[in-house]
Order: sequence, then structure tokens, then C-alpha cells
Amino acid sequence: MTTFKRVSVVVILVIFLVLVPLLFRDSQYVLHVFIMCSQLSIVSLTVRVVFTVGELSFGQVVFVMAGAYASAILSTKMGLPFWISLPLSGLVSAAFATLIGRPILRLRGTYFSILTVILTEVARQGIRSLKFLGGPQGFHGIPRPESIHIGKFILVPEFNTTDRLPYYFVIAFLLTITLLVLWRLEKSPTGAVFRATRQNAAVAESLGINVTRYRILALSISAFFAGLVGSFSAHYITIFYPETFSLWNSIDYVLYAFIGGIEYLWGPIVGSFALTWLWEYLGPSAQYRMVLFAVLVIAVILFFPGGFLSLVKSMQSLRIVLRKVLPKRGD
Amino acid sequence: MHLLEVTGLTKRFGGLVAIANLDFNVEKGVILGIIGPNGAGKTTLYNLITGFIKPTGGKVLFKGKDITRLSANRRASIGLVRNFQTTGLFNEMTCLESMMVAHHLSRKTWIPAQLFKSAGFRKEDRRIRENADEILSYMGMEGLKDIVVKNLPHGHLRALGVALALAANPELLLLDEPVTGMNETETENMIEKIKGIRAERGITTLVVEHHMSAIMGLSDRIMVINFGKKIADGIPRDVVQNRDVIEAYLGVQKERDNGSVSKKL
Repeated sequence: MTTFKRVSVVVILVIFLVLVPLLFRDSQYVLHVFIMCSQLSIVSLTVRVVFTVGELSFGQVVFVMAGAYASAILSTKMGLPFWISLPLSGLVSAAFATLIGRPILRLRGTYFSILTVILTEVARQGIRSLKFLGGPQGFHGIPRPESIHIGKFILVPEFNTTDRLPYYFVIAFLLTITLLVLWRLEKSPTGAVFRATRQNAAVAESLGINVTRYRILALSISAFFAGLVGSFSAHYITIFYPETFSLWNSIDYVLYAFIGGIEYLWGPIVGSFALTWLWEYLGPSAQYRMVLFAVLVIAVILFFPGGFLSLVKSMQSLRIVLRKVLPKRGD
Repeated sequence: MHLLEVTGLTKRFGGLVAIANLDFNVEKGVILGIIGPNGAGKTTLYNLITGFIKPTGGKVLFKGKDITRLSANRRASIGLVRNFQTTGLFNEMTCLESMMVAHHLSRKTWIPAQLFKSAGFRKEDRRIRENADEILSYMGMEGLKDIVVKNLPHGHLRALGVALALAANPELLLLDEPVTGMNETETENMIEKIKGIRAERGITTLVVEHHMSAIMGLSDRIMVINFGKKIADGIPRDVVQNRDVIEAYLGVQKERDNGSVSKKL
């Protein structure tokens, strides 16, 4: 990794883990927006994970839903503390993905994507008719995360209805972990197998790679992190029902990932943060949001399909070229 | 026991019979050339043997085991590997990265070890990297390991295809038109490499090719396929003089042309 990259990652971490909390400690509004950005970022990242094996999933919200429901049940019906139900929900979501992965990945490409669109609705209807999954009323009164202290030393503070700061740290931490794991995954041989599957599945297969199994693995990994977000969300808003999750969420995750630049690890994060803040900035003219969104998507497709980060990359390349081409000072 | 036994192999695509009741065997250590006019079914045969399509009838036995129902990647894991004639490779990766992926079957470590880069993982990774370098050198590509595959010239691209197959540690290697599109020098080099693969690594090889002198120079035995049927099987010298073979390639000849045609072949 170049020094520039190392430094910029550290800078970003410092900004989000130190500066933002310090500066906006009292602005519940700003904290809330950042929490939303972080949640969106993580799930958009999961879209990218699936994209690494060559599939475009418009159904990530299903895994968020799985995590939310798992966490709600584990907390309200089994009394588990949030800190336990959080990772468990991720695992439940991943297990769910492994279960449905094999049948749904029998379709490929466009057909798979269409199937994922339908998946959300199917999941919603299924849940609506199951009593123990809360039925149409969903869950309410989901407990807030518990504080953890050893004697008088407070490891984790109280979570209450008035202060969002603890929640901010939790989701910032989750985003950091997600980034770290996905970054390491990409550099690992498994990440290389994912890319090989996308670039030439037939050759991969001929070299002994079980392409289907790796696609399911990618889906499960994406589901794990989406499930974590679902769990967090359940304990953050404390109420949800089937309609809380919709296809529009899935579409957002995909679009934010592409607008930021799906080929880059930071792309989905850039997209999520940039667009969420853009919508907030527009505030009163929110009715034009859909129009602006559509224009933005079309602009990306036509002029910079690689997303925002591809523009950054172009500027870097341009700088390198200019440096070589332009005469140096003193000539 | 033959390394590969194909019995009664048949493949129908709707009304079209691509392979019709094909029988042949391959003994260990042999280089078998497979030739036939375009559309004869050679690539279909490869797809059937390596598990990329399922047969309509018949059996494939590898090392004595029935692999007819086995998936393609499982066949690779037991030593049955192929290369591809037409599709590209891993275009966005470098040669070395592609080779690392090709060593997939050699990896014993799972995701946790890979993510935390355990000592076991690092040792394995180093071993694989060394093996990758060795194979790339053998195929004459030492300086190219950091070149992105889509930028490779055609000759090196085909060589990489063979290199990838070698990385999968095959016992039986199926080469699909390895010298197609190559110039004289590249073709000669490839032929030497293929001979070396058998000589130094003991790998049994099937070679589908159109380049006649390459096939004649390489093969211990040649099998000729036309319209999905085997029309000849024997040593090169006999096969080229076979009447049916000559007819298949050139159509029915008048008697007086036979001598000169077989000289060309």
C-alpha cells in the first residue's frame, strides 16, 4: 500500500472516530445522518462483495431483514443481550444466504438479478404470515444495547433515547470492521478466486474451482454484514414491521455502490456518504430528490460509469501525465 | 487399466447427433492427437470428457473410476485438466496472479488462515509462488509475470493457458488447439514444451489440433473424428494413409490423386 493510501486511511479514521464525535457531540441530527450513512455504506459494500463474483444483487435488504428479525427475536423472546445477538444475527443471516444460495444461484446474470428483486417481496409476504416472526405488526420495544461495566469501570455506556453518540460509535466500529475484513478478503487467495469466477468462470471451473460454491460463499459473506446492520438497526429504531424493508432499500444500496464506484473498496462508502448528505442538504426541496437522483444515475452511466472514485483516479492519472508532458520550471 | 476409457459416448443436441457411440482408450504416458474437420465434434468431445456438458449416453472412466456424473471442477481435482481454445483467460489479472489462482487445488488453508495470514498460510503461499514462477519459466514467460493478461500477445496468451492447466497438477491434460494462431517459432516452441510436459512431468496428453505437422510431430497415436464418429485410430503414419481420413478432409478423390494427397498430409 502506498504511503498516500496509508496516510489517507488513518486521516479518515481519525476524522470519523475522533473529530466528528468531538465536533458534533451535541448535534443529534448530524449524528443521526452519519449513522444512516454508515449503515448504508456497510450494506452497499455487501453489494460490492456479491459483484466481485460477477452477480448483481438487488435483494440485499432481505439479509438486513434477516438480521433485524433474528436480533429482535433473540432479544425479546430469548432475552439475549444486544452484544451477543449482534454477531449471532450476522450468522443467522449468513446461514439463511447459504440455504437459499444454491437454488437462487442456479440463475445467472440478469436472471439472477431479477430473482433478487422478487426475493424481497417473497420474504416480506412470508414473514407477514408467520406469527412467531411478528406477523404484520412486526416487533416493537426492542431493547437498547446494554451497558457493560466491570465494577466501577464503564466499558460501554448507557444507551438511552436522548443521546445518539454511543450508537454512532457502535456503527462506526462496525463499518471499520467491515472494511478491514473485506479489504483483507480481497487481497487473499479467496478474493482472487472470486475475481477469477467473475472474469472467466469456465476457466476457473477447469482449474478445480467450485464456482457455485464460491458464489454462495460471497453471498453468505455479504449476508453476514448486512445482517449486522439489520441487528443494529433493530436496536436503534426499536420498532419495525415487514414494510420497514422494501425493494427501494435494495435499489439504493446498488445505486450508491455504483455511483461511488463499485470497482473500488471505498466506492460504496463514498457513494453512500455523498448522496445521503446531498439529500440532507437539499432538505426542503426533497421532492426534487427523485429527479436529481435519476439525473445523477444517468450522468454516471453516460460520463463516468466507474463512479466518483473513477473520477478521482482519472485526475490522478491526469496529474501524472501533465507532470510528464509539461515542461519543468526553469526550462 | 487405461488412464482414460470412453465407452459408447453419445451426445445429442435435440435432433443433432454431435458425438455418436464413441469408444476409445488412452494409456498412461501417451500423447494422443485428435484431428478431424471443423465441426467434427472435437471440442464437444473435450467438453464431455472434462464434464462441461453431460452426455446423452455412454460412460467416461478415469483411472478406473466412473466419472460420467462428476462435475467439471471435481474432475480437475482428480487430475483431469483441460485448456481452452477460444475463451480468454483471467483478463484483468497479471500472469502471476492468474497462476496463483490456478494453484487453487494445492491450497489447504481456509479463509480464517488467509485473513490472518497465519504461518501455515505464508509457507503455503510461498511454495505456490515458487511453483508458479517455475511453470512460467518453463513456458518461457519469466519476464512477463506482472503483465496484465489482456495485454499479452497471442502466443504468450496460449502459453499462459497451458501454464494454468499445469498448475492444476494434471495427470491427464487435454489441450485444445494449443498452436492455433501462432507463427512458426511459437509453434515449434509450444511443440517442444508439450513434449517436455510428457517427458519431464509424466503427464499424459491429448492434443486437438488442425496443424498437421505439429500433430504428426507430437503424437504417439492419432484418432480421427468426423461427424461425431471415430473413423481412424492408430499410429500417425497409418492414419494419414487411411482412405476414410483422406475423404473426410478432402472429399472423395479420384484414384490418381490419392498418392499426392497423402504426401501433403
